[in-house]
Amino acid sequence: MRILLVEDDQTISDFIAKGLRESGFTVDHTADGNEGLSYALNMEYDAAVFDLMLPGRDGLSIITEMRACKIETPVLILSARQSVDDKIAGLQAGGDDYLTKPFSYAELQARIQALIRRSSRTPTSSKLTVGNLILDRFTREVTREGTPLILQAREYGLLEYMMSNAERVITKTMILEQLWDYSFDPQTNVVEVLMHRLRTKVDKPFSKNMISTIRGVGYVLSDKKN
Amino acid sequence: MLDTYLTSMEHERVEERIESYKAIYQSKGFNTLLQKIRNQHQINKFSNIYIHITDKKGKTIWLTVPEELNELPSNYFTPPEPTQNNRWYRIDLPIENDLDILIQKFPDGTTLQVGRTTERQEFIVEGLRDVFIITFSGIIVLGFIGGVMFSRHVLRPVRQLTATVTKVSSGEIQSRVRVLEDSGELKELAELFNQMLERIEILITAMRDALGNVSHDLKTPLARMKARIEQTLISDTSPETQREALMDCAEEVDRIDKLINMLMDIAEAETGQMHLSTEIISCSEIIDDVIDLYEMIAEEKNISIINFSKPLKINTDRQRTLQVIANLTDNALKYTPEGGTITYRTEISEKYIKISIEDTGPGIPKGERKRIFEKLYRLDKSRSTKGLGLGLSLVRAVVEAHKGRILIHDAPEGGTIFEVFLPRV
Repeated sequence: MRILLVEDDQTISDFIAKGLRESGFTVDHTADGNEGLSYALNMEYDAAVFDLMLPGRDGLSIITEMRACKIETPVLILSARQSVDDKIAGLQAGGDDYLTKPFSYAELQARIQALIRRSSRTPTSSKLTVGNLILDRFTREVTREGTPLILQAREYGLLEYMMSNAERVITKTMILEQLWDYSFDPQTNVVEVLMHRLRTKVDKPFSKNMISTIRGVGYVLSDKKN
Repeated sequence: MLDTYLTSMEHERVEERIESYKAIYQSKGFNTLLQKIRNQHQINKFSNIYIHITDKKGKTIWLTVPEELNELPSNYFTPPEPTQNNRWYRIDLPIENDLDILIQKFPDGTTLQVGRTTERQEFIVEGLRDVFIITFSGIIVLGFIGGVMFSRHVLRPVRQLTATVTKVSSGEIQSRVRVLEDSGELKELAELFNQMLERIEILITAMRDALGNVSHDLKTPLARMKARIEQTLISDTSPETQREALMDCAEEVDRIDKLINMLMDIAEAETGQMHLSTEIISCSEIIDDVIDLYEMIAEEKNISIINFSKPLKINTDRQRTLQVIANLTDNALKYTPEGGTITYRTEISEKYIKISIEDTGPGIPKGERKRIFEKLYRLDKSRSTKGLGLGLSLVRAVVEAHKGRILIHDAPEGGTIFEVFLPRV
């Protein structure tokens, strides 16, 4: 998987590039808009991440040029601007997703993967397995160590989302968007409440906890830890 | 010019007279002419005219002179030689005035001279000049005063505009132009100018507020974060403690980010910069979505939610309206004690759709009702609620951006009712 990253802030781009490389992506990085465009036009990428404010050429104009040349690489826009107008402008220019700074790397990666999945249309398997936890998408049955778990609709939705992103951090924002389709911060601890409920069913009766909290970042469902 | 004009007029009159004498002479002879002149003299017709008739030897037959020349000896009035008909001569006199004469020689040698002194012309010209000077200077002075007054009157609104601009640019942002005219372009200008000032004032106030809030409420989490980082860096702690410190910082960053987003949203909504992509939706749909999000929290607190909402149509920005109802619900849940109730109702009136949210909390004292919409105001300061104190400010700003309004009432059995009025479709 090859990713094009055009971002002029050294710290942020190092952080993103390092993270993506660790997750097995090949990353081409440039800080200049014009250079970014020539990369995009001459190489093939699975996805691209563009900052909006760039030296040389801004992110929106790179996207416009790319789309004019019939290059349909999915693009994630990064921006410090949070207003809805900017979001709309970004998506209208041909961007596929939008993430505002400050963002969490977990969210960035999840969004990139979602973009790649969407564009390649990899079929999702009906059964999700993480360690001894198994979820069947058709029958909606969940078992851990062979014991069936009785989950409510929201709890099931959350677990499915976490299992399809196993070993990766998912943020509160991602959960709110995925489960309730909320694009603003509702200032509520509903995610914590739901997570608490899920844990009492998925983790509490068993010896090992699979769900862990990374305060200030999000949650991970993992088979590895403790 | 006037001088020339008057001279030529006088000359014409003399010419006419000489023509008439000539006609008399030719038709009726010299004696009749003399008789005529004598008659005219007797009825005093020659006030200022000079008439001199001489025979062929140059001897004077008749002489009439203007009064002022009476004292002059008659030898001054000798016509110049040789003479020519129909031509003007000037006889220099040793007084202020001269004499202009026209000469007509008849075939029998008789010479007729008719003339006028230049005195009268000068007098007239001088008189006229005075009149002109007085009139003209009068016109100029009056015109100047009138012009000044008129322009002062016309430019008064413009001067007021200038004065207001000066005041505003020196910081008196509240000053406005007084609208004096009943109608017309200047009134329109003044009104438009005031509207512009109104907007500028709103923007500036919002900016000041935002800056104040930012400096106040962002500094605190920043300070906490800095303290935490320093503490961790200085002391020789375990990786586990360092991890904890980092998580604390991540949480603080989240809080700062949220705060900035909220403040920006509020500022955008208050200044009319908020982009609203309105669509026609039913209010029960919105309420259902909000309940869907919050019912779990209500369950945790054993609060029952009752929903009487009807599918009334409203034309609003879906996400923003969700945010409004969500914030009010969050607020209600925070203040409603365990076992309480939250009730949603909708109502239709002539102009508005009313969405009301009633809780069974402690209620809001009347004096506090206005203040709870202020930014960063918390009803109970000692209470360790996690909110940012911006929720209700955002609610009001968004509702007002939709041209709606929000009211607070006491619920009949204690508790509070928040009423959101949104324009009807």
